[in-house]
Amino acid sequence: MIESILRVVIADDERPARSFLGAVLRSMTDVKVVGEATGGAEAIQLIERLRPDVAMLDLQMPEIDGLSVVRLVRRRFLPLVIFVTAFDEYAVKAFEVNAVDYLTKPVSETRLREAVRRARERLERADLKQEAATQLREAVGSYERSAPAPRLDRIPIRQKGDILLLPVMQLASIVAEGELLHLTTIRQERHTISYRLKDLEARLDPAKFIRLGRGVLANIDVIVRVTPMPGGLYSVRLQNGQELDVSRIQSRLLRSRLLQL
Amino acid sequence: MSAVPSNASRIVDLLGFLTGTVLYLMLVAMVWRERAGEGKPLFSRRGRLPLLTGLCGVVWNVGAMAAFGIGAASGVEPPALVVALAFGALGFLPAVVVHSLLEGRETAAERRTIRPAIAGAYALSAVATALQFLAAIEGQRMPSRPALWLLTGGFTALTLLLLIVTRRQPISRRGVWVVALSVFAVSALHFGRHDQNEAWWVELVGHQASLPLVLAILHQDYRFALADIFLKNAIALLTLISLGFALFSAATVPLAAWHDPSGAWDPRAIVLLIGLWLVTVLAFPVIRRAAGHVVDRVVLRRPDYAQVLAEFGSAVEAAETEPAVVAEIAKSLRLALGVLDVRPVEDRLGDGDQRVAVWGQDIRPWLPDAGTSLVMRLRTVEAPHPALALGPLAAGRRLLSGDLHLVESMSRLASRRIDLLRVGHERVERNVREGEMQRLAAQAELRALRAQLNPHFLFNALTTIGFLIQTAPPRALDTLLRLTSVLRGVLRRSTSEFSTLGEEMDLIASYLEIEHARFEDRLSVSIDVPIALRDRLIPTLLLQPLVENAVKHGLAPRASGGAVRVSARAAAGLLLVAVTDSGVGFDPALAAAAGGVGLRSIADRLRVHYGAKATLDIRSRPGMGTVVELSLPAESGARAAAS
Repeated sequence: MIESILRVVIADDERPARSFLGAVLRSMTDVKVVGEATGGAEAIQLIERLRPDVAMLDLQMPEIDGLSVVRLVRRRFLPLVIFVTAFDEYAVKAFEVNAVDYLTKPVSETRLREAVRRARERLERADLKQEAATQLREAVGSYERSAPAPRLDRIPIRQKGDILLLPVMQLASIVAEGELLHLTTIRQERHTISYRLKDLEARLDPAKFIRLGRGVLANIDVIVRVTPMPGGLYSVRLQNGQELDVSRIQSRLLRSRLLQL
Repeated sequence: MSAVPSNASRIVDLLGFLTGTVLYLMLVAMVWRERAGEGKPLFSRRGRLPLLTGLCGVVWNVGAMAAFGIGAASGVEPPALVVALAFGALGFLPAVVVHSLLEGRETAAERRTIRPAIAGAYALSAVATALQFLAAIEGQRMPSRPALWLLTGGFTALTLLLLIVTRRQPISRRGVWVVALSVFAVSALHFGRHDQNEAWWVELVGHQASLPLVLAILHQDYRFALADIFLKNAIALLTLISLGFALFSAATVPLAAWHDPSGAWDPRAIVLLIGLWLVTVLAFPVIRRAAGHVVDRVVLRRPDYAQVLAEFGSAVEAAETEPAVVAEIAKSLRLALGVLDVRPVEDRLGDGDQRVAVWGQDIRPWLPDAGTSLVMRLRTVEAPHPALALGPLAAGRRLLSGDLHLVESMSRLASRRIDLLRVGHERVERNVREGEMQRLAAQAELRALRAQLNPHFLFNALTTIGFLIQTAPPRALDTLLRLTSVLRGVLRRSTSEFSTLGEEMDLIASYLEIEHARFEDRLSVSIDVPIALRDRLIPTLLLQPLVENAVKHGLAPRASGGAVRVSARAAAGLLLVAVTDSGVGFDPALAAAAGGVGLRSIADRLRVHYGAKATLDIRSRPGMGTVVELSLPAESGARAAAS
């Protein structure tokens, strides 16, 4: 039985690590490294252009890390993902729970062969491939919830073929709608990303972003006016002219945070 | 009935008056001393009744002694005016008793009822006295019988009236003055039909009927807290006199037998008299103790103060907190004095007031409710000075001098314990603080150690070495050796607290070399440390975390990388070391909350080693890189290492 060649894209910002992984993969006859990305943005481009079977993504990459790549790649192009990490106990836990494959640095050849074998098995069965995609998204979510997430300075946003890195301090408000988040900047630009509000809030500075209601976050620095409404509620006006209502519970918090000297 | 010759009756009588005089003088002296001790006028409201009682008693006894004792013995009729004066004084005693009933009445209604009774009592006494003097001037038989009859009848009626008025009082309280007044009425009757042939004991009882009045007054006027001492002394004195009289009376028979008409002393008589004298003297302390015991245990039912204090002392020693000490005070007072309500109050007297037990009218600053009998102050060395308000004593008991001494002793014991506890508490707090410091230091050490053995760095380094083995084996070996020197440097941390700047720089160079191999041209490194400074001592691995931060947080998050520069210079007795990176930078305000742990542990270590003489200065702005500058006192580092 002749096995098909497994097409792989690898992404790591460190050349030695990338080369080391590439060298091991190239020694395998049934694997072809179709692309090497030096960062997250490049990885997304390569994945969507080359449509590999498997993407091996380094977790720690500057600006757009391995997890963001998974979030930002269009769903229909998302290959099987194998994460690579030097040391990250939270990632390892999230991946194991959700049966997502991962490799630890320095990558051992035996372990890599095993990962490739499993990837091939999943790819050959459509149901398993579907399952893997779901598990991947679960793993990414659970990792971001459990890890002491570093503060997010920029939010990567898909803009057609490009990735826009929006500095969080330019954000005026975030409004949730189902699985999507509508972001409005202080210059009144509007973006939509697929992210859970809770997960994003956890990675934003709580001193800068305040909840106004169940699905609304606002940048505290751009609130220019607070108008009392009947029934002890408030309505706030932002620097960009946006008007947002404040829920009953958050009105109380708002009072204590903003309105008390 | 008596074997004693008829003269014995007179001797007993004389002895009785003498004893009475001494007792009343003692009473006057005690009131005097108490008033003088408090620096209050002698005839203030408080204490005037006992004083009046004492004075009346002295006048009565001295006068009666003159009238019945000396006068009758010598066969000379005493001056009528002296007799009138004596009986006049005696006649006032029951009025004072009635007056003392008013004092301490709480309700105005009660006072309204009793006030006419008092006025009546004094009027009775005044009329009787006037009758005595009238009889004396007119040369009638002394003492005046109508006056005595008036006293008997009047005070009997008054007693009955008071019994009705005070019917709500407990019997125990009424009993004392009812008995006293009754005895007085009967004794007045005795004088009213006085003849010289009564039995000696009838004479004695009749003439000393004023004593129960004194006790009644002292009992009513509870503010006279020396009543117990007076009672003890009085009982001891009376017992001693009775004993002495009995012994010497018994001795008269052999003495009479040995009497030598020539007037020469029989040696046996001398021995007997000296023996009797010795027995009397030696018996006095025993009698006094016994009297004290009888008064404390039987009459006043008081606890054994010494025992209470001893138990309180050990209980307070065992108390570990101020509330526990206060609880012990409350417990002991409940057991010893029957004080049911003990509650903490604010100390309203100034620091200058040294009194530990405040009672009577002096508790006014606390605006006490009617129940507060005493305020106990704990004179601790430092504020706050606790104070306790004591409620009323069980069964209407009054605070007596022994009780006050007990309260004062307890207060002193408790204050000393609280002082000790406070000092001890301070020491414990200091120990806890020191322990906290040590714990922090240990934690910082552990964290620093873990930061050095950063597994992320280690695995990335090994990955790099793996790559180099495939592509450039000599460089792989070189990197491996640098990794071992980094690990060695990190492990050295556990053995020495200080190392030279040179050693530290070598370690940092090795570390940066490994990172350079990993990040390649994304990381450029420069180290600028003058050779002259390489011998300076600095805390081990203090700088390495700063360099690692610069790489990990400053440069790694940036795709284009940047430069790290480590430099050292000496200036004005300071060693200045700066770690500069051209990385992403951060908002210092946010860093304090988010990623400041590593920096804080460095700041902690600096403080531990150099106190305020070392500084850690961080300058950073988002997108503009970061400068961290350490300023260490150059010399004290060397000293710290030497010691």
